[in-house]
Amino acid sequence: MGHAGDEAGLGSPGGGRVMEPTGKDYLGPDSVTDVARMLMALVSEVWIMRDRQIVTEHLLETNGSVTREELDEFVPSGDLAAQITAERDRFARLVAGAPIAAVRRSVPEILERAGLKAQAAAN
Amino acid sequence: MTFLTNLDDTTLKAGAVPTFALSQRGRAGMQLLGAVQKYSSGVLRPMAAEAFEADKRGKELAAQHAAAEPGTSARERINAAREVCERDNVYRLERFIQRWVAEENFNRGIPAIEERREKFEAFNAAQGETELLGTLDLAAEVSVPKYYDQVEWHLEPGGWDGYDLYGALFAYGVGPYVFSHGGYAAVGVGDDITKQRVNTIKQFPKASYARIYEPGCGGVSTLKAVNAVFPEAELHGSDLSPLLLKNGQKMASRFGFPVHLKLADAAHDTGEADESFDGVITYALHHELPPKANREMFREMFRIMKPGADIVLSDPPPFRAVSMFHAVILDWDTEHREEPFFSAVLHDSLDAMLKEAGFENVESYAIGQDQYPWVTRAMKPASAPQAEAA
Repeated sequence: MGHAGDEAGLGSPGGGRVMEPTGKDYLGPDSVTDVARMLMALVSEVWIMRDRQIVTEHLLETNGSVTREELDEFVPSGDLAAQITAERDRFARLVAGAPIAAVRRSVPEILERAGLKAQAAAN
Repeated sequence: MTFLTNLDDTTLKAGAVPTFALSQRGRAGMQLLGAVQKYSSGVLRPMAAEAFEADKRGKELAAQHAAAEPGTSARERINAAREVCERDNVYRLERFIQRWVAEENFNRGIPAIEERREKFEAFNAAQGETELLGTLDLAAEVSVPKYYDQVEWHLEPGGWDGYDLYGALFAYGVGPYVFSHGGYAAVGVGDDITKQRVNTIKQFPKASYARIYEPGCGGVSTLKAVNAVFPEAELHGSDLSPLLLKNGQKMASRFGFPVHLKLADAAHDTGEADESFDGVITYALHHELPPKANREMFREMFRIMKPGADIVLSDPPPFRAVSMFHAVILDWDTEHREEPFFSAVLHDSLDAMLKEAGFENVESYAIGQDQYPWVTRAMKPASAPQAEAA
Protein backbone atom coordinates (compact mmCIF):
# COMPACT_ATOMS: atom_id res chain seq x y z
CA MET A 1 0.00 0.00 0.00
CA GLY A 2 1.46 3.28 -1.05
CA HIS A 3 1.81 6.51 0.85
CA ALA A 4 0.88 9.94 -0.27
CA GLY A 5 4.59 10.67 -0.37
CA ASP A 6 5.16 7.81 -2.79
CA GLU A 7 2.72 9.32 -5.21
CA ALA A 8 4.69 12.55 -5.06
CA GLY A 9 7.99 10.65 -5.43
CA LEU A 10 8.92 11.40 -1.82
CA GLY A 11 8.93 7.90 -0.34
CA SER A 12 11.66 7.29 2.28
CA PRO A 13 14.00 4.29 2.12
CA GLY A 14 12.46 2.95 5.35
CA GLY A 15 8.94 3.14 3.96
CA GLY A 16 7.83 5.89 6.38
CA ARG A 17 6.27 9.16 5.39
CA VAL A 18 8.75 11.97 4.79
CA MET A 19 8.30 15.70 4.98
CA GLU A 20 8.06 17.71 1.83
CA PRO A 21 11.16 19.81 1.05
CA THR A 22 11.09 23.05 3.03
CA GLY A 23 12.50 25.10 0.20
CA LYS A 24 15.90 26.22 -0.91
CA ASP A 25 18.92 24.63 0.79
CA TYR A 26 20.33 27.95 2.01
CA LEU A 27 23.57 26.67 3.53
CA GLY A 28 24.51 23.91 1.11
CA PRO A 29 27.06 21.14 1.67
CA ASP A 30 30.01 23.56 1.52
CA SER A 31 28.79 25.16 4.74
CA VAL A 32 29.19 22.09 6.94
CA THR A 33 32.43 23.54 8.29
CA ASP A 34 30.72 26.81 9.16
CA VAL A 35 27.98 24.89 10.98
CA ALA A 36 30.72 23.10 12.92
CA ARG A 37 32.22 26.49 13.82
CA MET A 38 28.81 27.58 15.11
CA LEU A 39 28.50 24.38 17.12
CA MET A 40 31.97 24.80 18.64
CA ALA A 41 31.20 28.42 19.58
CA LEU A 42 28.15 27.12 21.42
CA VAL A 43 30.22 24.35 23.03
CA SER A 44 32.63 27.00 24.34
CA GLU A 45 29.79 29.00 25.87
CA VAL A 46 28.34 25.88 27.52
CA TRP A 47 31.73 25.01 29.01
CA ILE A 48 32.24 28.55 30.35
CA MET A 49 28.88 28.24 32.14
CA ARG A 50 29.75 24.76 33.44
CA ASP A 51 33.09 26.04 34.79
CA ARG A 52 31.27 28.95 36.42
CA GLN A 53 28.81 26.56 38.02
CA ILE A 54 31.64 24.47 39.51
CA VAL A 55 33.34 27.60 40.85
CA THR A 56 30.03 28.89 42.25
CA GLU A 57 29.36 25.59 44.06
CA HIS A 58 32.90 25.64 45.47
CA LEU A 59 32.64 29.22 46.75
CA LEU A 60 29.19 28.57 48.26
CA GLU A 61 30.46 25.45 50.03
CA THR A 62 33.57 27.26 51.23
CA ASN A 63 32.24 30.74 52.06
CA GLY A 64 28.47 30.29 52.28
CA SER A 65 27.93 33.13 49.82
CA VAL A 66 29.32 34.39 46.53
CA THR A 67 29.37 37.66 44.60
CA ARG A 68 29.71 38.20 40.86
CA GLU A 69 33.09 39.85 41.37
CA GLU A 70 34.40 36.88 43.37
CA LEU A 71 33.38 34.58 40.52
CA ASP A 72 35.01 36.78 37.88
CA GLU A 73 38.28 37.03 39.79
CA PHE A 74 38.52 33.44 41.03
CA VAL A 75 41.46 31.37 39.79
CA PRO A 76 41.13 27.67 40.74
CA SER A 77 44.14 25.95 42.26
CA GLY A 78 45.02 22.66 43.92
CA ASP A 79 42.33 19.96 44.08
CA LEU A 80 39.66 22.18 42.58
CA ALA A 81 41.85 22.96 39.54
CA ALA A 82 42.45 19.22 39.09
CA GLN A 83 38.72 18.50 39.38
CA ILE A 84 37.88 21.15 36.78
CA THR A 85 40.60 19.84 34.44
CA ALA A 86 39.18 16.30 34.66
CA GLU A 87 35.65 17.55 34.00
CA ARG A 88 36.83 19.73 31.09
CA ASP A 89 38.72 16.82 29.51
CA ARG A 90 35.61 14.64 29.82
CA PHE A 91 33.52 17.39 28.23
CA ALA A 92 35.98 17.80 25.34
CA ARG A 93 36.12 14.02 24.85
CA LEU A 94 32.33 13.71 24.66
CA VAL A 95 31.93 16.62 22.24
CA ALA A 96 34.92 16.18 19.91
CA GLY A 97 34.63 12.40 20.15
CA ALA A 98 30.90 12.32 19.31
CA PRO A 99 31.48 11.32 15.66
CA ILE A 100 33.61 8.31 16.60
CA ALA A 101 31.10 7.37 19.30
CA ALA A 102 28.85 6.31 16.40
CA VAL A 103 31.21 3.50 15.48
CA ARG A 104 33.31 2.77 18.57
CA ARG A 105 30.55 1.49 20.82
CA SER A 106 31.98 -1.24 23.02
CA VAL A 107 31.16 -0.92 26.74
CA PRO A 108 34.79 -0.07 27.67
CA GLU A 109 34.91 2.58 24.93
CA ILE A 110 31.62 4.11 26.06
CA LEU A 111 32.79 4.17 29.68
CA GLU A 112 36.17 5.60 28.73
CA ARG A 113 34.55 8.53 26.91
CA ALA A 114 32.50 9.15 30.03
CA GLY A 115 35.66 9.21 32.15
CA LEU A 116 34.80 5.89 33.86
CA LYS A 117 36.42 2.47 33.99
CA ALA A 118 34.56 -0.77 33.35
CA GLN A 119 33.92 -2.47 36.73
CA ALA A 120 32.81 -5.85 35.39
CA ALA A 121 32.66 -7.78 32.15
CA ALA A 122 29.51 -7.18 30.13
CA ASN A 123 26.96 -10.01 30.34
CA MET B 1 60.00 33.80 16.97
CA THR B 2 57.18 34.39 19.42
CA PHE B 3 56.05 36.16 22.53
CA LEU B 4 57.01 34.71 25.89
CA THR B 5 54.45 31.96 26.47
CA ASN B 6 55.21 30.46 29.82
CA LEU B 7 55.45 32.61 32.91
CA ASP B 8 56.78 30.46 35.68
CA ASP B 9 56.31 32.70 38.69
CA THR B 10 58.56 30.50 40.79
CA THR B 11 61.50 31.92 38.83
CA LEU B 12 60.50 35.59 39.16
CA LYS B 13 63.07 37.86 40.72
CA ALA B 14 62.35 38.99 44.28
CA GLY B 15 59.74 41.75 44.47
CA ALA B 16 58.49 41.31 40.88
CA VAL B 17 54.81 41.95 40.16
CA PRO B 18 52.88 38.65 40.36
CA THR B 19 51.21 37.13 37.34
CA PHE B 20 48.21 38.82 35.83
CA ALA B 21 45.05 36.63 35.61
CA LEU B 22 42.14 36.41 33.16
CA SER B 23 38.49 36.55 34.24
CA GLN B 24 36.59 33.30 34.86
CA ARG B 25 35.03 33.65 31.40
CA GLY B 26 38.34 34.36 29.69
CA ARG B 27 40.16 31.57 31.52
CA ALA B 28 37.47 28.91 30.97
CA GLY B 29 37.12 29.78 27.27
CA MET B 30 40.86 29.48 26.65
CA GLN B 31 41.12 26.31 28.72
CA LEU B 32 38.46 24.64 26.59
CA LEU B 33 40.57 25.34 23.47
CA GLY B 34 43.48 23.56 25.13
CA ALA B 35 41.31 20.57 26.12
CA VAL B 36 39.79 20.16 22.65
CA GLN B 37 43.19 20.47 20.97
CA LYS B 38 44.63 17.91 23.37
CA TYR B 39 41.85 15.44 22.50
CA SER B 40 42.21 16.12 18.79
CA SER B 41 45.97 15.62 18.62
CA GLY B 42 46.12 12.92 21.30
CA VAL B 43 43.20 10.71 20.24
CA LEU B 44 41.86 11.63 16.80
CA ARG B 45 45.24 12.10 15.12
CA PRO B 46 46.59 8.65 16.07
CA MET B 47 43.33 7.14 14.74
CA ALA B 48 43.83 8.98 11.46
CA ALA B 49 47.45 7.81 11.31
CA GLU B 50 46.30 4.23 11.89
CA ALA B 51 43.75 4.51 9.07
CA PHE B 52 46.41 5.91 6.73
CA GLU B 53 48.83 3.12 7.54
CA ALA B 54 46.11 0.49 6.98
CA ASP B 55 45.21 1.91 3.55
CA LYS B 56 46.80 0.12 0.60
CA ARG B 57 47.88 3.33 -1.16
CA GLY B 58 48.95 4.81 2.19
CA LYS B 59 51.21 1.81 2.78
CA GLU B 60 52.78 2.18 -0.68
CA LEU B 61 53.48 5.88 -0.13
CA ALA B 62 54.88 5.28 3.37
CA ALA B 63 57.25 2.64 1.96
CA GLN B 64 58.36 4.98 -0.85
CA HIS B 65 58.92 7.81 1.63
CA ALA B 66 61.10 5.63 3.87
CA ALA B 67 63.18 4.30 0.96
CA ALA B 68 66.74 5.52 0.42
CA GLU B 69 65.86 6.31 -3.20
CA PRO B 70 62.08 6.92 -3.28
CA GLY B 71 61.83 7.55 -7.04
CA THR B 72 59.38 10.41 -6.49
CA SER B 73 59.80 13.88 -5.04
CA ALA B 74 58.70 14.59 -1.47
CA ARG B 75 56.20 17.08 -2.89
CA GLU B 76 54.60 14.41 -5.07
CA ARG B 77 54.43 11.94 -2.19
CA ILE B 78 52.91 14.46 0.22
CA ASN B 79 50.26 15.49 -2.31
CA ALA B 80 49.33 11.87 -2.93
CA ALA B 81 49.33 11.02 0.79
CA ARG B 82 47.11 14.02 1.57
CA GLU B 83 44.51 12.65 -0.86
CA VAL B 84 44.51 9.36 1.06
CA CYS B 85 44.23 11.18 4.40
CA GLU B 86 41.37 13.41 3.24
CA ARG B 87 39.19 10.40 2.45
CA ASP B 88 39.08 9.72 6.21
CA ASN B 89 36.40 11.49 8.28
CA VAL B 90 38.53 11.36 11.42
CA TYR B 91 41.47 13.05 9.67
CA ARG B 92 39.18 15.82 8.43
CA LEU B 93 37.66 16.27 11.90
CA GLU B 94 41.12 16.47 13.49
CA ARG B 95 42.27 19.05 10.97
CA PHE B 96 39.06 21.09 11.45
CA ILE B 97 39.68 21.18 15.21
CA GLN B 98 43.29 22.26 14.69
CA ARG B 99 42.16 25.08 12.46
CA TRP B 100 39.32 26.08 14.78
CA VAL B 101 41.61 26.28 17.81
CA ALA B 102 44.16 28.32 15.82
CA GLU B 103 41.39 30.79 14.88
CA GLU B 104 39.92 30.86 18.39
CA ASN B 105 43.27 31.56 20.04
CA PHE B 106 42.65 35.07 18.73
CA ASN B 107 38.86 35.23 18.28
CA ARG B 108 38.39 34.27 21.93
CA GLY B 109 41.78 35.30 23.28
CA ILE B 110 41.75 38.96 22.21
CA PRO B 111 38.42 39.69 23.99
CA ALA B 112 39.67 37.76 27.06
CA ILE B 113 42.63 40.14 27.29
CA GLU B 114 40.73 43.25 26.22
CA GLU B 115 38.15 42.89 29.00
CA ARG B 116 41.10 42.99 31.43
CA ARG B 117 42.86 45.93 29.72
CA GLU B 118 42.51 48.20 32.73
CA LYS B 119 43.91 45.59 35.10
CA PHE B 120 46.66 44.66 32.67
CA GLU B 121 47.73 48.27 32.18
CA ALA B 122 47.89 48.72 35.96
CA PHE B 123 49.95 45.54 36.17
CA ASN B 124 52.14 46.75 33.33
CA ALA B 125 52.61 50.16 35.00
CA ALA B 126 53.61 48.52 38.28
CA GLN B 127 56.01 46.35 36.36
CA GLY B 128 57.36 49.46 34.60
CA GLU B 129 58.38 50.91 37.94
CA THR B 130 60.91 48.16 38.35
CA GLU B 131 64.33 48.73 36.82
CA LEU B 132 64.72 47.68 33.19
CA LEU B 133 67.82 45.56 32.73
CA GLY B 134 70.10 45.52 29.69
CA THR B 135 69.52 47.74 26.65
CA LEU B 136 66.87 48.26 23.96
CA ASP B 137 67.87 49.91 20.69
CA LEU B 138 64.99 50.71 18.36
CA ALA B 139 66.79 53.52 16.52
CA ALA B 140 67.71 51.70 13.33
CA GLU B 141 65.69 52.42 10.22
CA VAL B 142 64.83 48.91 9.15
CA SER B 143 63.04 48.15 5.91
CA VAL B 144 60.48 45.46 6.57
CA PRO B 145 61.14 42.65 4.06
CA LYS B 146 58.36 41.89 1.61
CA TYR B 147 58.14 38.30 2.81
CA TYR B 148 57.38 39.50 6.35
CA ASP B 149 55.00 42.37 5.64
CA GLN B 150 51.26 41.59 5.60
CA VAL B 151 51.67 38.05 6.88
CA GLU B 152 49.32 37.18 9.72
CA TRP B 153 51.61 34.50 11.20
CA HIS B 154 49.68 31.64 12.80
CA LEU B 155 46.42 33.46 11.89
CA GLU B 156 47.37 36.35 14.21
CA PRO B 157 45.24 39.34 13.08
CA GLY B 158 47.47 42.17 11.84
CA GLY B 159 50.68 40.13 12.23
CA TRP B 160 53.10 40.32 15.18
CA ASP B 161 52.38 44.00 15.81
CA GLY B 162 48.64 43.84 15.06
CA TYR B 163 47.37 44.26 18.65
CA ASP B 164 49.13 46.09 21.46
CA LEU B 165 48.33 43.41 24.06
CA TYR B 166 49.53 40.36 22.09
CA GLY B 167 52.30 39.96 24.67
CA ALA B 168 49.68 39.57 27.40
CA LEU B 169 47.56 37.28 25.23
CA PHE B 170 50.41 34.82 24.76
CA ALA B 171 51.79 35.10 28.30
CA TYR B 172 48.48 34.79 30.16
CA GLY B 173 46.12 33.07 27.71
CA VAL B 174 47.38 31.08 24.73
CA GLY B 175 50.67 30.06 26.38
CA PRO B 176 49.47 28.57 29.67
CA TYR B 177 46.06 27.32 28.52
CA VAL B 178 46.56 26.11 24.92
CA PHE B 179 50.24 25.79 23.95
CA SER B 180 51.10 24.11 27.25
CA HIS B 181 49.38 20.91 26.03
CA GLY B 182 51.50 20.64 22.86
CA GLY B 183 49.92 18.84 19.90
CA TYR B 184 49.98 21.75 17.43
CA ALA B 185 52.22 22.35 14.40
CA ALA B 186 55.42 20.31 14.95
CA VAL B 187 55.09 20.23 18.75
CA GLY B 188 54.33 16.72 20.04
CA VAL B 189 51.27 15.90 22.13
CA GLY B 190 51.86 16.72 25.79
CA ASP B 191 55.23 18.31 25.11
CA ASP B 192 56.23 21.32 27.16
CA ILE B 193 57.77 23.89 24.82
CA THR B 194 59.60 25.57 27.69
CA LYS B 195 61.47 22.36 28.51
CA GLN B 196 62.10 21.81 24.79
CA ARG B 197 63.86 25.17 24.59
CA VAL B 198 66.08 24.34 27.55
CA ASN B 199 66.92 20.92 26.06
CA THR B 200 67.82 22.63 22.79
CA ILE B 201 70.17 25.09 24.52
CA LYS B 202 71.90 22.09 26.11
CA GLN B 203 72.99 21.05 22.60
CA PHE B 204 75.69 23.74 22.65
CA PRO B 205 78.88 21.68 22.88
CA LYS B 206 80.90 23.84 25.27
CA ALA B 207 80.40 24.23 29.02
CA SER B 208 80.40 28.01 28.99
CA TYR B 209 79.80 30.94 26.62
CA ALA B 210 80.67 34.61 27.09
CA ARG B 211 78.38 36.19 24.47
CA ILE B 212 75.37 34.57 22.75
CA TYR B 213 73.27 36.09 19.96
CA GLU B 214 69.75 35.23 18.81
CA PRO B 215 68.35 36.56 15.52
CA GLY B 216 64.54 36.78 15.56
CA CYS B 217 64.54 36.68 19.36
CA GLY B 218 60.92 37.89 19.66
CA GLY B 219 59.73 38.08 23.26
CA VAL B 220 62.86 36.42 24.73
CA SER B 221 61.37 32.95 25.38
CA THR B 222 64.58 31.40 24.06
CA LEU B 223 66.96 33.86 25.71
CA LYS B 224 65.23 33.02 29.02
CA ALA B 225 66.15 29.35 28.40
CA VAL B 226 69.72 30.39 27.45
CA ASN B 227 69.96 32.27 30.74
CA ALA B 228 68.83 29.13 32.61
CA VAL B 229 71.58 27.00 31.01
CA PHE B 230 74.36 29.59 30.67
CA PRO B 231 73.71 32.19 33.39
CA GLU B 232 77.17 33.66 32.81
CA ALA B 233 76.50 34.52 29.15
CA GLU B 234 75.84 38.08 27.97
CA LEU B 235 72.66 37.84 25.88
CA HIS B 236 71.97 39.76 22.66
CA GLY B 237 69.08 39.53 20.24
CA SER B 238 67.34 41.25 17.37
CA ASP B 239 63.91 41.21 15.77
CA LEU B 240 61.84 43.04 13.16
CA SER B 241 59.04 43.73 15.66
CA PRO B 242 59.42 46.70 18.05
CA LEU B 243 56.45 45.41 20.09
CA LEU B 244 58.08 42.00 20.63
CA LEU B 245 61.36 43.64 21.63
CA LYS B 246 59.74 46.04 24.11
CA ASN B 247 57.82 43.16 25.68
CA GLY B 248 60.95 41.06 25.66
CA GLN B 249 63.02 43.53 27.65
CA LYS B 250 60.23 43.99 30.22
CA MET B 251 59.80 40.26 30.64
CA ALA B 252 63.55 39.59 30.95
CA SER B 253 63.80 42.34 33.57
CA ARG B 254 60.90 40.81 35.48
CA PHE B 255 62.83 37.56 35.68
CA GLY B 256 66.01 39.39 36.63
CA PHE B 257 68.31 38.79 33.66
CA PRO B 258 69.65 41.54 31.36
CA VAL B 259 69.23 41.34 27.57
CA HIS B 260 70.59 43.61 24.86
CA LEU B 261 67.95 43.88 22.15
CA LYS B 262 68.10 45.68 18.83
CA LEU B 263 65.63 46.38 16.03
CA ALA B 264 67.28 44.81 12.98
CA ASP B 265 66.75 42.60 9.94
CA ALA B 266 69.22 39.88 10.86
CA ALA B 267 69.10 38.47 7.35
CA HIS B 268 70.81 41.63 6.10
CA ASP B 269 72.58 43.57 8.81
CA THR B 270 72.53 42.89 12.53
CA GLY B 271 74.56 46.02 13.22
CA GLU B 272 76.95 43.87 15.27
CA ALA B 273 80.75 43.84 14.95
CA ASP B 274 82.68 41.17 13.04
CA GLU B 275 83.73 38.12 15.09
CA SER B 276 82.03 39.31 18.29
CA PHE B 277 79.94 36.31 19.49
CA ASP B 278 80.84 32.91 20.92
CA GLY B 279 77.48 31.32 20.16
CA VAL B 280 74.33 31.82 18.05
CA ILE B 281 70.96 30.26 18.82
CA THR B 282 67.74 30.25 16.80
CA TYR B 283 64.45 28.66 17.80
CA ALA B 284 61.44 28.10 15.51
CA LEU B 285 62.68 30.86 13.22
CA HIS B 286 63.82 29.45 9.90
CA HIS B 287 60.43 28.13 8.75
CA GLU B 288 59.22 31.74 8.95
CA LEU B 289 61.76 32.92 6.37
CA PRO B 290 62.00 32.05 2.68
CA PRO B 291 65.05 29.87 1.92
CA LYS B 292 66.87 32.82 0.28
CA ALA B 293 66.56 34.94 3.44
CA ASN B 294 67.77 31.98 5.54
CA ARG B 295 70.90 31.72 3.41
CA GLU B 296 71.53 35.46 3.80
CA MET B 297 71.02 35.21 7.56
CA PHE B 298 73.54 32.38 7.90
CA ARG B 299 76.13 34.47 6.04
CA GLU B 300 75.50 37.35 8.47
CA MET B 301 75.74 35.00 11.47
CA PHE B 302 79.03 33.67 10.12
CA ARG B 303 80.35 37.25 9.93
CA ILE B 304 79.51 38.16 13.55
CA MET B 305 80.71 34.85 15.05
CA LYS B 306 84.22 34.44 16.41
CA PRO B 307 86.38 31.70 14.85
CA GLY B 308 85.51 28.45 16.66
CA ALA B 309 82.09 29.76 17.76
CA ASP B 310 79.05 27.42 17.75
CA ILE B 311 75.63 27.80 16.14
CA VAL B 312 72.60 25.78 17.30
CA LEU B 313 69.28 25.86 15.42
CA SER B 314 65.93 24.30 16.30
CA ASP B 315 63.17 24.19 13.71
CA PRO B 316 60.52 21.70 12.55
CA PRO B 317 62.10 18.55 11.08
CA PRO B 318 62.66 18.27 7.32
CA PHE B 319 60.09 16.15 5.47
CA ARG B 320 62.76 13.54 4.78
CA ALA B 321 63.11 12.91 8.56
CA VAL B 322 59.45 12.18 9.42
CA SER B 323 56.87 9.52 8.52
CA MET B 324 54.68 9.97 5.45
CA PHE B 325 51.62 10.70 7.59
CA HIS B 326 53.48 13.21 9.75
CA ALA B 327 54.80 14.95 6.62
CA VAL B 328 51.16 15.56 5.58
CA ILE B 329 50.42 16.97 9.05
CA LEU B 330 53.40 19.35 8.93
CA ASP B 331 52.73 20.40 5.33
CA TRP B 332 49.16 21.35 6.30
CA ASP B 333 50.39 24.31 8.37
CA THR B 334 51.62 26.14 5.27
CA GLU B 335 48.16 26.81 3.91
CA HIS B 336 46.00 26.46 6.99
CA ARG B 337 47.90 28.23 9.77
CA GLU B 338 49.46 31.09 7.78
CA GLU B 339 52.98 29.74 7.54
CA PRO B 340 53.85 30.72 3.96
CA PHE B 341 57.41 29.34 3.99
CA PHE B 342 56.90 26.27 6.18
CA SER B 343 56.91 23.66 3.39
CA ALA B 344 59.59 25.42 1.32
CA VAL B 345 62.01 25.28 4.26
CA LEU B 346 61.08 21.70 5.19
CA HIS B 347 61.80 20.62 1.61
CA ASP B 348 65.18 22.42 1.76
CA SER B 349 68.14 21.63 4.00
CA LEU B 350 69.41 23.86 6.80
CA ASP B 351 72.52 21.62 6.88
CA ALA B 352 73.32 22.52 3.28
CA MET B 353 72.67 26.21 3.92
CA LEU B 354 75.12 26.24 6.85
CA LYS B 355 77.79 24.49 4.78
CA GLU B 356 77.29 27.01 1.96
CA ALA B 357 77.87 29.82 4.48
CA GLY B 358 81.22 28.30 5.51
CA PHE B 359 80.32 26.39 8.68
CA GLU B 360 81.85 22.99 9.42
CA ASN B 361 80.99 19.97 11.61
CA VAL B 362 77.35 20.35 10.51
CA GLU B 363 75.03 17.75 12.01
CA SER B 364 71.28 17.44 12.58
CA TYR B 365 69.18 15.18 14.79
CA ALA B 366 65.95 14.96 16.79
CA ILE B 367 65.75 15.31 20.58
CA GLY B 368 62.01 14.64 21.05
CA GLN B 369 58.97 12.70 19.82
CA ASP B 370 57.87 13.07 16.19
CA GLN B 371 61.44 14.25 15.46
CA TYR B 372 60.84 17.55 17.28
CA PRO B 373 62.71 19.57 18.36
CA TRP B 374 64.95 18.96 15.36
CA VAL B 375 68.39 20.37 16.12
CA THR B 376 70.98 21.43 13.57
CA ARG B 377 74.34 22.53 14.89
CA ALA B 378 77.67 23.57 13.43
CA MET B 379 80.86 25.47 14.12
CA LYS B 380 82.63 28.37 12.46
CA PRO B 381 86.10 27.07 11.55
CA ALA B 382 88.66 28.04 14.17
CA SER B 383 90.90 29.55 11.51
CA ALA B 384 88.22 30.84 9.15
CA PRO B 385 89.23 33.96 7.27
CA GLN B 386 86.33 36.44 7.35
CA ALA B 387 86.30 36.55 3.55
CA GLU B 388 84.68 33.10 3.47
CA ALA B 389 81.47 34.66 4.69
CA ALA B 390 81.10 36.72 1.53
